[in-house]
Amino acid sequence: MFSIKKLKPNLYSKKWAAFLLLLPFLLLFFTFNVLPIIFSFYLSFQRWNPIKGLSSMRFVSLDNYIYALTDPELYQALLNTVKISLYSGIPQHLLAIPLAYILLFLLKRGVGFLKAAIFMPYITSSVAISVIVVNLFASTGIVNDFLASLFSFLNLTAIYEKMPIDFMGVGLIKTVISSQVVWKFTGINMVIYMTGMLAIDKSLYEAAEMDGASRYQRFRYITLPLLKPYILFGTIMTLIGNMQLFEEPMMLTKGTGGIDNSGVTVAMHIYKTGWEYNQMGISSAVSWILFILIIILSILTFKAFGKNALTKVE
Amino acid sequence: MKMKQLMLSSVLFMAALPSLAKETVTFTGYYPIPEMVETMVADFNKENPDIEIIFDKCGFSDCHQKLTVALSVGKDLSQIYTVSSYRIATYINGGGLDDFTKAPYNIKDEDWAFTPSMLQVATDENSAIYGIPYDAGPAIQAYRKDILEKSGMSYDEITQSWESFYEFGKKIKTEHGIYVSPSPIELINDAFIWMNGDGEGSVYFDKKGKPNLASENMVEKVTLLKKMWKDKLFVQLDGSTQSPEFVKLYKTGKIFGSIDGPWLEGRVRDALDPEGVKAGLWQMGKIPGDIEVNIGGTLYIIPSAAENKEAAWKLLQFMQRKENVIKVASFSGSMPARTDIFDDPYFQKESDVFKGQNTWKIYEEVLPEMRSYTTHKADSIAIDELKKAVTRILDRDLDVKSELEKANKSLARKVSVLD
Repeated sequence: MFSIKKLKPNLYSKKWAAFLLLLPFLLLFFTFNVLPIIFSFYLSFQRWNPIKGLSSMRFVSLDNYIYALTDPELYQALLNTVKISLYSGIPQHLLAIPLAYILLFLLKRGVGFLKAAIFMPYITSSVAISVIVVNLFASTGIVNDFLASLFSFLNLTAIYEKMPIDFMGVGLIKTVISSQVVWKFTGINMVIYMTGMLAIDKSLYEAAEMDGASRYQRFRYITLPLLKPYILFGTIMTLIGNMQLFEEPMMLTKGTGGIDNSGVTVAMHIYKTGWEYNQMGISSAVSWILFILIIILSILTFKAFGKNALTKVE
Repeated sequence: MKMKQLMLSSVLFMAALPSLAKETVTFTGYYPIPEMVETMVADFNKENPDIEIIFDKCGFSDCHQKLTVALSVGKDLSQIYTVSSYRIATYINGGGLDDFTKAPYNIKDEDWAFTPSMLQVATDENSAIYGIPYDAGPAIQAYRKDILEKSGMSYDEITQSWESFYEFGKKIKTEHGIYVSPSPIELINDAFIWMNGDGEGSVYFDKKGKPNLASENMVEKVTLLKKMWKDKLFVQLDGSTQSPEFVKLYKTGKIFGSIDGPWLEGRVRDALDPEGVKAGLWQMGKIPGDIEVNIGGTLYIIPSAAENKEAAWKLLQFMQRKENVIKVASFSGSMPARTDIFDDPYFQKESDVFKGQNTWKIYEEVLPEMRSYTTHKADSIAIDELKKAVTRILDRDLDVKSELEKANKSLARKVSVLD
């Protein structure tokens, strides 16, 4: 006989228990991640001044995308972002790989302290660090004071007369932002590479050592090739993170974007368009353009690393 | 057992009744206004025990963003927000604010007199008033009198015009290595640009609402800034007075002064040069060109979608009582926007910061003279665009006219998609 009771889910079954346990996460994920993504996509086809309320939205087809793609400020922000990504992305990895190798295989003492010291910036607030960086590199800051004293001491009058250096100016702002990014993210990349190096079979090193390979040769011909999947992972993460860079340029340029927008990144451009110019539709369109760009760059990175980048080399 | 539970529930319910009956008014504002209103709550509650005031303190930009978000969804709005005079036109254009000339407010029935320059920014073309001015900002200059004495010139002489101010700047820089102002960008404000174009419309738009960044006046002013920059009369291109890099120079007497609003009084005392204030080195005067203009202020607004608006109005009325307006002035050192209260003895005393000067008297003279101008929904975008153009011109030594025309085009493009 048909029974309604049988249709009721058994909350004590493993399947339902898993759903129940996942529910809090799923609710939060849907509310704060999925819904905003859907809403942002919808918004990118609307003209909307938030001050006028939700009812003031009107469909404008692809107008927001056309406006964004013909906006010289977006291209300037994009160029700045790419430059900062390169200035900060490459050194991060060039530093992280040797650091990981040194800390794992070469240093015997103080390893724990050094690991913590290098990783610490990653868990420190970007805002707090930026405040310190602004003060350090200000025209009356310690860096300028030190350089001025140094040039004066060395009797380098021609250089001394050009002091103070405008670190926040058009010429150097991207370098200052990049330095802070390198300092903050080298630690996490080092941890990624340490994990990768620990996963490499020790017998390979032992065999190479017996064959007379030097430390450099072992690093160059064993560690680096076997680290390829981790380098790919690290590069992709850096690429995604750097293309969305916001906190550092926002803080270091005090929200202005710097002289002649020299420190504006795409994420800052999105923020300014949405919140300062109240053009939420265009802001959303730029977000989607950035998303597509990140996908393209990620695919290109995968291609550049080759097909076997993610396969484990035995 | 059930009887006990019932009794306990009844007691708790009775205890909670008074708070259930209370109306709440949430006051969202930036420093120092909520802090100042907090000091009045006890007195307000003596007269209005049924109204509970909740404070939501936020930073300047955060408060405006909170208002934007609340208006966009039309829910959970605070009853009162503080809004800057630079941004109020954007919100008036949005249409989500209550008109204080209508019931239940009927502001015209009140005997409050405000400086026209602040009331104008809150008034639309139909004479509806959307904001109650809290303070006003007559443009002034705080300066070191010892530097002025060194130059051998009088204050009237140096502030006769912007050109004479430039000549004074050159003199103190070449003779004593002192900068006249911290940065050119700090000077990009209504006071410096005033009066743009034909003297009508907003400062950055003409009377037809078209961007006006490449007017003759603007070209003239930016050209002057360019000359000042080339002669190294500023410390650096960008930055505001209270930036740490400038504070150090103010304290060592390497910058002559700062042009801004009455809040400079507190800023000089607390940050720029407390020792200099003690030594009586600081003075205050009008800005070059003898321009009497409002450089900004704050207004209170009530969103149309807010609840308990009558309770919020009661609080605003309470804050506008003469004794409370004076409390405000004494708490924050700001210049009240009310012009009918200056007969009070509080305003007769000498300034603690600018020795030998009664700054209130100076402001009082300036307030009725301050010229009014209309605001435009895109004023904040225009200022942003102008600042970008000026930094570009000065940094790269570009042609003033053509760069301002580019800025004008860029502004027009942004305004074209603004609802």
